[in-house]
Amino acid sequence: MNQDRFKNSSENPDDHDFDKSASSLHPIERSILSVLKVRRDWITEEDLSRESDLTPDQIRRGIEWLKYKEYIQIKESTEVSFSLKFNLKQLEEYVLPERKLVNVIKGGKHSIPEIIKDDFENNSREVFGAIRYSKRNHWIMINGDNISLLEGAEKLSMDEELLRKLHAGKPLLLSGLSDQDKISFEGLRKRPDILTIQKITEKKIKIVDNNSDKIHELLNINGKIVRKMNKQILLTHEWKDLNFEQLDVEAPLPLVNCGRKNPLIDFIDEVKEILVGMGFGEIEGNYTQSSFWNFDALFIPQDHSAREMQDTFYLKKGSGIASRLEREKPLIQPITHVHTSSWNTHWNIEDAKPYVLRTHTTPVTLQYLWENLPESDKVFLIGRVFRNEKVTYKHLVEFHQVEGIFTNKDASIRQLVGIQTEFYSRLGIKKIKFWPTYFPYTEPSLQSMVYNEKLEKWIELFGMGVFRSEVVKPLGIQNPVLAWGGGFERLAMLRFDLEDIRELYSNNLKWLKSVPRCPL
Amino acid sequence: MPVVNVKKSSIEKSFSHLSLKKIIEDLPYLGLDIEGIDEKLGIIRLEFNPNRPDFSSENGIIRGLKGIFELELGMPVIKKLSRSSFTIHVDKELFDNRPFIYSLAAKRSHPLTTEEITQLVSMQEDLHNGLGRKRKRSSIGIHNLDSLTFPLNYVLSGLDRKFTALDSNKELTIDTILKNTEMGRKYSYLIEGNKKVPLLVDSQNVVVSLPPIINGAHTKVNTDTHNLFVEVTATNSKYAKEMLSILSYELNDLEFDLFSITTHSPFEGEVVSPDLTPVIIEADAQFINKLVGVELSIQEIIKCLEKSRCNGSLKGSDTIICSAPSYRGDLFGPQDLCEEVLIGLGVGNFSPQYPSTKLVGKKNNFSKVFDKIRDVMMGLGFVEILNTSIISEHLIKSSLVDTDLSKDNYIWLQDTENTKVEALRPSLIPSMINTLSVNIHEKYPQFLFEIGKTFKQERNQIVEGWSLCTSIAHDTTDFSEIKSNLESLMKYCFDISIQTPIASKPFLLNGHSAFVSVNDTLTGYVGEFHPQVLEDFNMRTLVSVFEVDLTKLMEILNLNKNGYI
Repeated sequence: MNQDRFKNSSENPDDHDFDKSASSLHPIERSILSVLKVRRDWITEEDLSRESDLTPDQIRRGIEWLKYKEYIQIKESTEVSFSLKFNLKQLEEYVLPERKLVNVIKGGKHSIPEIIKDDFENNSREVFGAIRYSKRNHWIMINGDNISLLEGAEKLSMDEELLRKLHAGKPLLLSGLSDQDKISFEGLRKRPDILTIQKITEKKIKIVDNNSDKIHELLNINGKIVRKMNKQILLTHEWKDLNFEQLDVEAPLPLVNCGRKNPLIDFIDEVKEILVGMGFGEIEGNYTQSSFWNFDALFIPQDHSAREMQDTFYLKKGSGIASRLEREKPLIQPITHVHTSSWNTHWNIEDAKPYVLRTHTTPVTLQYLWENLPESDKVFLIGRVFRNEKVTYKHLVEFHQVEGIFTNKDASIRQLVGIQTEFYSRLGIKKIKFWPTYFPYTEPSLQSMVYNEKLEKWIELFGMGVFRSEVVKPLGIQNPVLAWGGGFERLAMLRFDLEDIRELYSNNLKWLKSVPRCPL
Repeated sequence: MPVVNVKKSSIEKSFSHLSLKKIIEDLPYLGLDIEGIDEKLGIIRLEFNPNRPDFSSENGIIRGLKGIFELELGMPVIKKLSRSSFTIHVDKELFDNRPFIYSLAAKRSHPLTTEEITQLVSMQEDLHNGLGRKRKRSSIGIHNLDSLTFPLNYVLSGLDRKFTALDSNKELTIDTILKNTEMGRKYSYLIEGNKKVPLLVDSQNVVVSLPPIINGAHTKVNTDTHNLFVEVTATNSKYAKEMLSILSYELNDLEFDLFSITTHSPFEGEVVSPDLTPVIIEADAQFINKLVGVELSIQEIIKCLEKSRCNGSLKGSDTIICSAPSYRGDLFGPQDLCEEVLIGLGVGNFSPQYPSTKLVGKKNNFSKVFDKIRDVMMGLGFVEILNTSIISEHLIKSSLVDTDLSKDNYIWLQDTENTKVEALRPSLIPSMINTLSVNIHEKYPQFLFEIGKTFKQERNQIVEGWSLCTSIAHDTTDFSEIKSNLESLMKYCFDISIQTPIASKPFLLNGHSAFVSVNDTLTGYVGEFHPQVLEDFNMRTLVSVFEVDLTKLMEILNLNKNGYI
């Protein structure tokens, strides 16, 4: 890539003098050449980096450019480095089998079978190996099944000397070994599990002598080049006599801080945009609702399990918070009637008074209908709802729900399916199925399944239905009201490729900044 | 949702002319969710909706499928139901307790199989949990008919009465059964506090059952049992009748002959059960067509109802009378018939229609204003965070937003098993400092903001308001920096200037904190976090912060009006 950069520049007619121009030296190139000029001999990248104060990456790029300009030559050599295996190095001292054998004999044992059995865990191969090496070292002599020590058995063998060096320090280079150590190395490398051997390719760099004059010239026109343009240079017309250093224009640079919207809020906005575009008006309402609006007005019987504390958050009554249902007075009689006649049970107004954290957004929709009595209308809201559930990778206690309604004298289930199909299609979902299901406050009720191309499976999305007459009649609504809705985070997980719903609220700055504003 | 196991072999047996694959594909169109298929056992696990307790057995589901696939149309037929001379007498003392009891007898020439017993028990459990509201509303007892002698007496008994409960071999007092047996402990709360409990005994004074807790051992059903006695006791007669209806159709499907039993009740008089009188609903064909969005003929509508196992007939020129099996307590009115028609028609079989009604959409005012605030905050370089409304008492305390939580201006949640002492957040400050503390390993400087609801109590009323909280965290942030950002926001967003009179807040550094005042109304505060808070949240850098009440601000600035000009 870098080569291309230079090739292109030199083909540019304005730059035909390129390789003679002082400005062709980048500061990195300048630093490298300065070191090489003094050194004259081959130098490793490592040494070059140290002497020039450049990072290994800068060195790597710099020598590539210079090589292309034929100011330097490169030679690669392979070197073998070796060290003691990691687990052996951890030991206080590593004892070779032959030394172990000598120690055993010194302890008073002489019978080979006994030594094999007692001291080498029946590993006769290891003992015979140890005998072979001990003999080579002139440490022992053998008589039948008996071994005895020779004088000088205390003395370290050459192998042991090398091991001791390895145990004490860094890996050794093969080229730096004495002849004797080289022989020991060859011996030890054949024995299993003692050495770790690594091949290292090393690059060495040297200035091209033929070009040293030119390089000298390049390095010596220091006075006429500047690194940066500045205001002074502009105002004094100095720029006319100056050359400017070549920047490394290809190097990536650190990112600038950027303020950003929360990804979930951003996606909520995108969905709001879709719904507004489909003619829905946005409504808003309280997170805290009386049980009356959250349950009773929705035809949910007072003994329904959803009303139990293990599913719903109730607000503590201690300090006197409970709805007095004063505003709702006109509704009490019709709601009482609906519940009593349908569920064959007494309806207790006291059970309708406690406040809950809304378990769905429907109480807000319902109050909108009651307050506005629209004959024809489309409204939606995307807001928080609360369920007293255990938090898992797919369940949150607090999450968002999107909900919409359409009411009109001719509103029909077919239109509800039509609205959903259009909404999904604007979200980019084309494959949809509808199935009958059950909700206490809609009839008929449907659920939608959508096919997700990424996950390659059908996912359950929003539920929908026509509000029951038991729900809307007491409010004074005459026309059918089509309603649909469901959890929003499920969509967001698809949008942001999340597998854990909790991530949306983790406020992990790394994640918040990593989500692109415009995901592709 | 409850789950019922259906054997593939049973489906194949009933629908030999259809492929199993096709039937499985169509199950959801009956309102059944396929929870899973166990290929090894050859079982399909189906979730059914609580409005259709008749789907709580394999037979019930096959009954429904037979309609959809037109193997049997209209109401299912009870093959044999005769009157018996059996009677039950209800004691008037039961009035406040569990006053209703309905029952039936069922006879068959061959005994129950283990599999049938398992199915009946599982169905009984589902009915108890759903329709019976965990046995509170109604519960079922199934007994060996031949082990008891009529008439039965449904009475109120003292707790010292002894009997041998199901799956036990010892006589125990009712008190001991309630306190010391598994079933007793699980359900005794339903009759807790009563000195006397309902008890069903036979003419020999043998205990048949202690509803809704447990049956007596004497009438236990096993694989030698041919003839059954089924009783349902209840606090609500509607659900007792429904339960017994479902069991009647189930036993009918299991080829039992049914016999009715007469209850002599001081509350209802003489009642013959099971009461299988159909549920009758009338609806105009035009109403159905309009709501579903189709144009079906009367005959087509009736056919759809029949596929949903109901009967239909015409009254006058346009009114359809629908008779549904007595267990369809979920049908209340004309709207419910639309769903039956829809299922008969097949939801997959009609095309969507986008309504042509022209309506204009718009965002609400809060959204519009918040959008603008977000734009400016982003321009100032802030990242938006999102926290929950529910926070712990601990978080409020340690952030020092209030050192006195005993005051009544917080909104606390009722404690439950999974939650302990939690409140709705009174300010966004606690979650803000918490967010900073979970991000201490991220790059600084950090510029954060959140728009969220806050909650407080004023004169026993809950006040919900929107709030904006903004923080800056780095080694040299200070009052001037945060105030400058606040002033920039107010200037660029609303072209207003603010006043910042001295304030003293426990969570802010004294002398480096101020109120935010707009048009002489206090709407928030601004300052440097108190070092105590920083320490408590393990912060190793400084943080400055402001919080502004957006609801109040919008009021002061009269931003609640619609329109742009």
